[in-house]
Amino acid sequence: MKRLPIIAGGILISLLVLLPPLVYTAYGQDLLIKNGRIVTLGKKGTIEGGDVLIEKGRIKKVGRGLRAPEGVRVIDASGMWVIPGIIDTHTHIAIEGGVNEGTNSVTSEVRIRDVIWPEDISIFYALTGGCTTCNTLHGSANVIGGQNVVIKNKWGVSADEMIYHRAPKELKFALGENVKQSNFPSIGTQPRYPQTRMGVEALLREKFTEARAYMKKWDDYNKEKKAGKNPLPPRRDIQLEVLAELLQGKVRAQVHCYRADEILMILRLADEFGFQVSSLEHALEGYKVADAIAAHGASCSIFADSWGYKMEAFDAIPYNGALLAEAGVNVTINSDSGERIRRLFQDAAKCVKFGGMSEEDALKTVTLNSAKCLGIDRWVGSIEEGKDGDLAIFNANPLSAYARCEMAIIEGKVYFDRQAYLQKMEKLKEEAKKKKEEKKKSRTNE
Amino acid sequence: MKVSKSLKPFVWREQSSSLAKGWVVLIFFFIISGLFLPFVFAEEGGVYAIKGCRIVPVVGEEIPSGVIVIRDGLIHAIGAEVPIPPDAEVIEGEGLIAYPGLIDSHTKLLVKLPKEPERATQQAPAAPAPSPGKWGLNPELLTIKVLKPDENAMKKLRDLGITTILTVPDQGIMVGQSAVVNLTGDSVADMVIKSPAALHIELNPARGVRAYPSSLMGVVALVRQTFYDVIDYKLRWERYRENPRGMRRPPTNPLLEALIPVLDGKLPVVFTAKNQNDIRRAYIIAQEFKLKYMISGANEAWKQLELLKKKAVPLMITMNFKAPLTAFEAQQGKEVKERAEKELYPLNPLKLHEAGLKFAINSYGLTKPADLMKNLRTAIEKGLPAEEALRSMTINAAEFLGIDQQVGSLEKGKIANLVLSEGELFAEDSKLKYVFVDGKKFEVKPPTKKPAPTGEPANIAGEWSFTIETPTGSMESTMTIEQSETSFTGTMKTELGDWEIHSGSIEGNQVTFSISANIMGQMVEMSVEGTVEEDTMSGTIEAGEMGSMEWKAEKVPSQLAYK
Repeated sequence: MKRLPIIAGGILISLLVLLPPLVYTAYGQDLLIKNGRIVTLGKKGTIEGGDVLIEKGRIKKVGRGLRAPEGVRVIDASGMWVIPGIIDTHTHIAIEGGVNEGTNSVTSEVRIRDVIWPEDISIFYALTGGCTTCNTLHGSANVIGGQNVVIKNKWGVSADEMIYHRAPKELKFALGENVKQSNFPSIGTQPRYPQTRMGVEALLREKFTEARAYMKKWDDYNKEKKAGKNPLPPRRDIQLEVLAELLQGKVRAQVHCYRADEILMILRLADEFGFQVSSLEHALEGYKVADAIAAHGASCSIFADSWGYKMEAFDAIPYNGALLAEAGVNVTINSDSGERIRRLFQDAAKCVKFGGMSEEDALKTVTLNSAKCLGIDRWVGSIEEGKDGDLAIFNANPLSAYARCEMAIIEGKVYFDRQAYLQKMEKLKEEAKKKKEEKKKSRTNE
Repeated sequence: MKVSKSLKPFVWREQSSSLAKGWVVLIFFFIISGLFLPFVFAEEGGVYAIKGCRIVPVVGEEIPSGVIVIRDGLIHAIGAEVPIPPDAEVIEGEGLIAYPGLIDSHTKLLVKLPKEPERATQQAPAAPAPSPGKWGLNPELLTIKVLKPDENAMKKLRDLGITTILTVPDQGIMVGQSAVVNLTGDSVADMVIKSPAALHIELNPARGVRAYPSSLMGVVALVRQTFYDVIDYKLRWERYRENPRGMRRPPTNPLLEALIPVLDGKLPVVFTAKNQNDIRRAYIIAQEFKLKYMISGANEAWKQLELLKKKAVPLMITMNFKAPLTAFEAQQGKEVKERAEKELYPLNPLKLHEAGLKFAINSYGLTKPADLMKNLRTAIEKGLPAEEALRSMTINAAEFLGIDQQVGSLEKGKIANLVLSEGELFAEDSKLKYVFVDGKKFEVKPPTKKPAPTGEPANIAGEWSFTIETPTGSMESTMTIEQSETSFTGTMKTELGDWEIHSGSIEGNQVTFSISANIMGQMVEMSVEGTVEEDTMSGTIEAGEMGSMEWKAEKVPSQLAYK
């Protein structure tokens, strides 16, 4: 019985330790959206004249006739379409000081989260198109680019607050023309290895073998340590460490690829070394090997309709998305651009035109599917109770060419409000005009 | 050798010449003179008594009228009622205010790095072994080894009231170990107050050279990997030293060796923060390796107040108010950027002060030393209390750098670094009269005017072909100048893009202006001086990292024909 206070104390302490993260996740705000056309993309389907209640950043309730507790901001969305916040699975925005560490073929040690640039105006542009979350990653200059980061486009906060910590750790790979530097003149006398697709595969194999040896070194060390010996720990290598984590399943791979042959190569390599390819980025020829992709369980993060812009893009077709989806692959559409990130909803609409996807499925390619691709669909991607209060409000069907995003909301906070923004701009213009006139006056008075 | 050493006390010998009879006495004198030699040198600073001045000691109560006695390079006595020693040179301090000498807590002044090819290339060992070799790791470089006491440069600083600087190179990533030096002395050995003061880390990617790391994220990774390598290196050597028998000795590595005191928290790290995000990066790295660290630069500290309040890290902020390229304000066009530089960035020290944060002030990133005081005055105009400004340039800096027992305030026993000024130190119309460094007196003379401007300001409006003699060859560009009376602005079209010419002024045939150059994404400020002779101009450019370069310009003939 004497132990009871100790146990109680233990529980209290563990609660106290657990409390900060709980407090941390309750960072959001309260908000009620009324009378909108709620496209939940979840079990509740589309609700005409529906409401979404957000409490502390999370969606509390979706339905009709909801009431807001006192003091909570209410947004009237009459005549508007409310959709889940758009998610971009492949951008390079908000990165400071270089997107590629292109000096080496393998740079898995570099991390985008070290160089988040919260003042990049592209974050604001993304919001104007309803994009609330994005996966921002390395370019494709080298075979293993580095560690990506998933951010919420919270314009105006510091880097730490943007990081979406729930997203699983991923590593960016790249194959094909860019990494073998087909389109870049080699600087200096020595071209960088590898210069061919077969070289890329050989390099990957070499690196994974190295990573295995590295893992073994640490395993041996840990075993000896457990046995009560005093072994010297191996040198910590932050490049191989993340590759070892990949082989252990703690990190997933995002692979930039174009051609069917290289897609098959990386999938075979993944099976051989036992790692997970979470998504094939671009995968322009994915439709040719859709079954193999589906079997591995990789998502495809593609362009809606870009083709023929370089040699390896010659076999791209706009039906790629529809064909992949038909084979059971999770398909998402990405922007790969700080500018096109504003028009992802229009790119999604192209899936309806090419291949006849249903409107809801088309919208999923930039919302729920994207969340699945990034492994965060438990928290974002659809309007469902318990998920993050990330919403985009459009003046029309977002798949329409006339649609315009009116508001972007992240965790219950309005980060973009078109009308408010326009009014503010108008006011600033008037103020500037007044100032100019006053200056003129004072000059003429002189 | 022996004879020349004994030359100094000959004066003394003459006075007692009656005793000097025979060789024995002479030899006796040789020995005695040897004993007195150190005193002779120490007395070189002289004995001074500053009488009747107002004393602002920074630490302790202000003295409305007091005496400061300087002896042996130290503050021998200070107070309202201090007897004036008979051997002292008396300085009438009536109407003067005495302050501690100012400390510039981060500059690269007096550093003279050998040219690139002569420098030994440094390579961190083992993987991740980048193909063309790593760049920028020089943690074992001691600044005192590359310091050139340039009397001209030191005088410029002393004339501003600065007596002490922390100086360190700024090229590379781990740029070296800084030194705190007093601004007087014929050799570096006389000047040093503290060396090494800190290891300095700048998050500079290798630009222009195809070397790892070429990106900022690569820089962070390289710094992290290097510290992991130090952990490994230290452990291996510890094990080896414990029991060298039966163990193959680890290879020696001076680079990693130099970082062991840093890892052990014996030598602090100063991270230079060029924007708000670098503050966060410094924190991430320091936390990972439990480093004792400080942040310098940080003219965007006001954007990271929340983080800084939590961490209470020593801040040494720059008076450079240029917005970094990453700033939102800098992406919104020239007008917004300039407005921010006028209205927002000068508020940085005030905002830190209001947040209850302690900071020191420095000139990091400024090309002209005089801009430090000019910009500090601007910050004071914007609301920073003058006494806080004074603390930041004296005791705060001294405390951060661990030299507060030596400098930073006017207290008995401290190094005699002080400033005597007519009027409040930071007032617009204040005039410095005397500056003491290490007890040595320097009289500040009003700046000698340049050769009187001959008549009307030259007309330099129009187009010029502009040639800079860079270390890698001459660089041609076209300069277009818009002049209104004695001031001008303009643009410069170069092969690296368009550069902006600003703050131009003409006095007679003397021109000075600044160039804001965007060199591969990095903003470089250059200050230019020159002389106009009809249709040609020539002079020198001070261009930050690139040092000093010659330039000449010729008026484009078509313009002449038009005129």
